[in-house]
Amino acid sequence: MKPAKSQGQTISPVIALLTEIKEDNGPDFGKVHSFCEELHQGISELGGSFYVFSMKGFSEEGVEGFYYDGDDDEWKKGFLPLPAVIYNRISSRRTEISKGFKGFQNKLDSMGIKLFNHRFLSKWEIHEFLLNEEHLHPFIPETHLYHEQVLASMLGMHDELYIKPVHGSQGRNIIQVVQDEGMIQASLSSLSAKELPAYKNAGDLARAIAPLTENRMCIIQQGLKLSELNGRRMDFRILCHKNAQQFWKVTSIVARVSAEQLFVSNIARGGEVMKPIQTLSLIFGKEQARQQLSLMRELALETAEAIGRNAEGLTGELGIDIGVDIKGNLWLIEANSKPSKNFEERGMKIRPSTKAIIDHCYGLCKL
Amino acid sequence: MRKKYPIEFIDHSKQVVFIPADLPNSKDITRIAFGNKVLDVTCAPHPKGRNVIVLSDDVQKELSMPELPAPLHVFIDQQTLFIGPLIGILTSGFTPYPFRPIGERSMFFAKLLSVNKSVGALPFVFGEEHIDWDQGLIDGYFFVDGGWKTIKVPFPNVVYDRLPNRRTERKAELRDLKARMQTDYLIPWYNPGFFSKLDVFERLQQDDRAAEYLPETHEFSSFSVIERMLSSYGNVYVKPANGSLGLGIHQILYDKHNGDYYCRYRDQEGNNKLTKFDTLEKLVKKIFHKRNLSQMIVQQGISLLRSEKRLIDFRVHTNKDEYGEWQVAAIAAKIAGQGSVTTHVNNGGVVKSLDELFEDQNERERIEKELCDVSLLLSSILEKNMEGIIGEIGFDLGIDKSGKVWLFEANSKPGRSIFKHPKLKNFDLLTRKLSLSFGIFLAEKAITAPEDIFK
Repeated sequence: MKPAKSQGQTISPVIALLTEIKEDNGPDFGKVHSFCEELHQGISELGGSFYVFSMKGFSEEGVEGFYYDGDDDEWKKGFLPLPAVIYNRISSRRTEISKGFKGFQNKLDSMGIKLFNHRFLSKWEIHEFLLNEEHLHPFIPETHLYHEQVLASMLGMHDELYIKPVHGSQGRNIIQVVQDEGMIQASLSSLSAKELPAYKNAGDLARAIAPLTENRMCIIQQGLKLSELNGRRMDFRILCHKNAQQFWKVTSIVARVSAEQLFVSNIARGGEVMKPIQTLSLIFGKEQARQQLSLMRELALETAEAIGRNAEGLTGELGIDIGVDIKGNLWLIEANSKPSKNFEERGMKIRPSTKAIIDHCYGLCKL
Repeated sequence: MRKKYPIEFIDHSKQVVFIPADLPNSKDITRIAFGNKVLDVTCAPHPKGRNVIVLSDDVQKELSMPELPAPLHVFIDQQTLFIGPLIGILTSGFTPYPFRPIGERSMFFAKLLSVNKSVGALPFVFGEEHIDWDQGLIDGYFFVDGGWKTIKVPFPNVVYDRLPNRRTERKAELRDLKARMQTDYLIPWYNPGFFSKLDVFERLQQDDRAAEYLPETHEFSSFSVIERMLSSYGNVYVKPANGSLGLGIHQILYDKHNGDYYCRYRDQEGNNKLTKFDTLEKLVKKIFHKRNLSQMIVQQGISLLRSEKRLIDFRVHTNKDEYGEWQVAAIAAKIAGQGSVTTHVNNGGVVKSLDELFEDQNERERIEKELCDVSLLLSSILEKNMEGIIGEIGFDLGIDKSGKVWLFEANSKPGRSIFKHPKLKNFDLLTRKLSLSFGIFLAEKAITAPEDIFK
């Protein structure tokens, strides 16, 4: 491998992925491990080089990381040239808010190395970015930072509420609140459909959930009466990438249908993936489903553009969750700056989302 | 100085109209108007001295005024208080789906309507089928916090023409509608139609100040014209007179040394081709056999500025602002794909801001100024020489190797896809605001000085 400059034309760029690495028996890149193999394959086909590294392997002279040795079919450790582009897949928010990470980013800036997907974006940050966009307002559920008084006033307006940690992911630790005949019922997403006892008022509920809300920042969001498929909750994950020309594009859309009796549809929580046009057609008929799906793409692109423009640093990939309510209206549920890679099937081919990431990396090299 | 005021509606058994406390001569007002509806009323300044307009619900109903939280402008003329303006945006291609009423252009219109609060106007989208001529009402599409909503409103103060293409523009119903609104209702109509490329050149040619920016351009009438242009310029462009998106653009090059002709174009599969011929006749026969040559124009080739061997041209978007003055709303550079005739993004082109393209600040500033000056000059000349009220123009400009600016095309309904580029987003917002702000200017003129508009 030769060092690539990030300025000017690079024909064979060096692209690196940053994540946590376990080294006990051969390197383990966690959730992105098989994705890294795909990236290696795709980038080598284009004549570039790819490696994986963790923060501690980085120095200004070069990087200690893992490259894929095609002859031996395995990842090998080596001292590798500085990359032109880094794809940030650090999975721990704690690492990203550390002083070390900030210093690392400053160093990259001064060296002209581009890092994209700068860091985890919190649900509240994203909400604020989207609120700047007047034309997205009809699609944004009412959302506030959680505290007890807000819980009371939101209960006055909505029969169903969700309380989510702003830094949460994969549907963990979400509290669903439902009002019925003067009683307030709450359930937790972390344990399989764990129901809390019913409460008479907001104050009682607030005290009961205090262990979950006191030490972490949460948002409280209006419930949406999402349309269901045979009684199972459904939402859509739209994976968006910025292409080499710097335009956002939709790479894939899947419908996620929750496991029965569960109010989060995350795959990590036992949900199931289906084709969006089929699921929507079953509920709304084919013609309306087509319009909804088109609007879903448009909405996802507008959302990705708004986030990309407002967030600091470079953003090249976003996973946008959109729900469709029983009236057929679309809602922006949330956006994820480190979307899961497990929705598309992995055959022998390189998946569209991997291609999109590679295209984006090559585009960044030319900027 | 124009003023905007919030509007408040109250339930009241008697007719109530309170006028903002800071409006002069409010006692003289005997009528109130919204769109083309006018009502005789008794007004009083706001009793508590607030600067708001208060209307009782009967007045609101009588005027068909929607209850939307946007401050509106007021204009006073002949004892009438005009509240608004109500801006009707005419288009076609409506769907039966309320969440996406204008198909793939719904998001574009949602964004356009969303600037209403900051500019102080009430814009809505409508089609020919939404007009009730007998009642004098239009079932307009408004974009509010809850999404798209249809509300019956009076005829607007101005119409902003956003018909999507030449084909709909030529429809008899739409031509009638346009004539009727302008002549019977005296509603100013802006952005009246698509320019034809040749027409633009012919009209600009009449003005000496514009002539120097125009490459020689003709109808495709004979081989001899092309031969002559090839011998003077070395290469020419052949393109459809009414094309867009860079489709059907061909470059013909002549090699003096061995007498060969080359044609560079994009084939039907979307590949960039370069093909050699020994005569021009053979080239035309092979390449253009499926095309109606009378619909094509021939244009002098220009040796354009390049970036890393790739052609560069520029898009400058001008708008008339709230004072009726031309402004440059956006500038972008477009860099062609490798071996491509055009800089269009669907042909491998890349959009860049001038900051990204020119590292040298002096060079950037010089080029930016030159492009702005030429665009503003051409805008005012075009406005005088074309029919109708023009509110925005998109210019495709080139700069040759000696630094001279050339006009390739001027579009009355310029595409906005370049604004998707992240660095050009603010320009996008600005052009949207200006296209409604100009509606405010026109509405005021139509009320206070109609002779300026209906010449």
